Amino acid sequence: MVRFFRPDLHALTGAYAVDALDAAERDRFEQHLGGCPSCEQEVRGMQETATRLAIAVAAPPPAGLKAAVLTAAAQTRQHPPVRDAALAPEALGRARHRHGGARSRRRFRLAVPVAAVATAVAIALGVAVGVQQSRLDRVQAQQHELAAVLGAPDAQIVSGRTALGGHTTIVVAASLNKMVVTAAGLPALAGARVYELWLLTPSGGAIPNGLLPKATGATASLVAAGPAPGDQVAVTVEPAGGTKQPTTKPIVVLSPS
Amino acid sequence: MHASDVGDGAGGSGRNRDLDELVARVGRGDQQAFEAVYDRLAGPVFGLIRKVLRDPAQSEEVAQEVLLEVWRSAARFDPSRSSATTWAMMIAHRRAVDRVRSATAEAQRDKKSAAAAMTAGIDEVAEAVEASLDRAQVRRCLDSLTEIQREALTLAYYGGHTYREVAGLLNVALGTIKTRIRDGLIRMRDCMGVTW
Repeated sequence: MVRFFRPDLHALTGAYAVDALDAAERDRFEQHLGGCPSCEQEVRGMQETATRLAIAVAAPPPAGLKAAVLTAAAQTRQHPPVRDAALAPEALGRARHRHGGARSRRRFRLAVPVAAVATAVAIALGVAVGVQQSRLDRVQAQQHELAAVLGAPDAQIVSGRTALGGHTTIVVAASLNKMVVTAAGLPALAGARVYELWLLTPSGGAIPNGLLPKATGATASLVAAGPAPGDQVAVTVEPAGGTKQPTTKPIVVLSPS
Repeated sequence: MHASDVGDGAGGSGRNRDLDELVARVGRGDQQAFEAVYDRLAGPVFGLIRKVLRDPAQSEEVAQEVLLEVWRSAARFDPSRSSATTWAMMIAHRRAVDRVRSATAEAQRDKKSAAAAMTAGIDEVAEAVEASLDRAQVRRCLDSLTEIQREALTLAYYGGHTYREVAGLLNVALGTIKTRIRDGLIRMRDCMGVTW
């Protein structure tokens, strides 16, 4: 199970209940809500409270509205009942149906990136290593390692766009001290240059952490040592073979919580 | 419309199970039940939308969309998660706010007019809440909030502002606004005896 760890999210119950979050924050909060029954309980009480504020400003509707609504209803097909809100996002507008179970929605939402990462990784490894029998054991070991990271209970996804285009995504499993790094859509580098991965320490140090495999397709990935608490993860463009210290500005810096 | 016509709103002992049942019947395609639901919800739906949007013509248009959505989605109403009124009000508020924000994105409402709207909004609340016992209770409970809690809550809910915008309007730190909206709502909930 992957968690987006945001300790300050609980304070957003009120803003969420009165629709005062922007779309991105609302999505993050809803992910949080699925795993936080006490937040969900608090939000419901607040939504009922907000209803009192609505009733306090009730006003007689315009005369023609009733006929218009009833006529339209008679000509409008109804939605069937659904159990899983993720399958019926249209009811409350964009991807939000508070009556369908935040928990199942959360699983649905998180399953997509994890599956995407897993698929991307599998493809990249398969392509990079090919079918050489001698390396099959290594591939299998990597895939085990990968599955372990992706399936770790504390796995956390952080993603960012790079300065050269494309995205770098890391799945960090602090409990295993490992992470899976994928880069999708990064441009192929001219000459003998490579993408090098770094751990940036809070004291300003940079620890080399491997090279992204040369991608035959659009996606490259590897399993690498995980960041220590407070570390950031960065990627730079370096001469072939990599360097011991970065010689260029990072194209992306990711901050796991 | 008198607020007590709506009855529930708030769950707990005052909750109107009757309306929940009506919405369940609407979910099975019962047009007569829908007319009864319309009669009870149209006032709060229209009033809330007009409060947020202000423009009467736009408000009528959005209210029509929302009430039609109540018809379409009635089968998805889950009484274990909210009262029927709250379910409808959440749809209404969300639609109104979406309308405000899409307009905002186009025209970047300037802070000055928003600040003027805020003052008007608070005065209007004061007027609107005199009409009935329920309204008086909302008024009394709003009055029990600190000034910043009250302003943050009414700007967010009646004004349709994000908490970021509220922070800008009140010139208060973001973190403070988050907290004030939350503890303002908790205080309102307790003051009005909302149990859920």
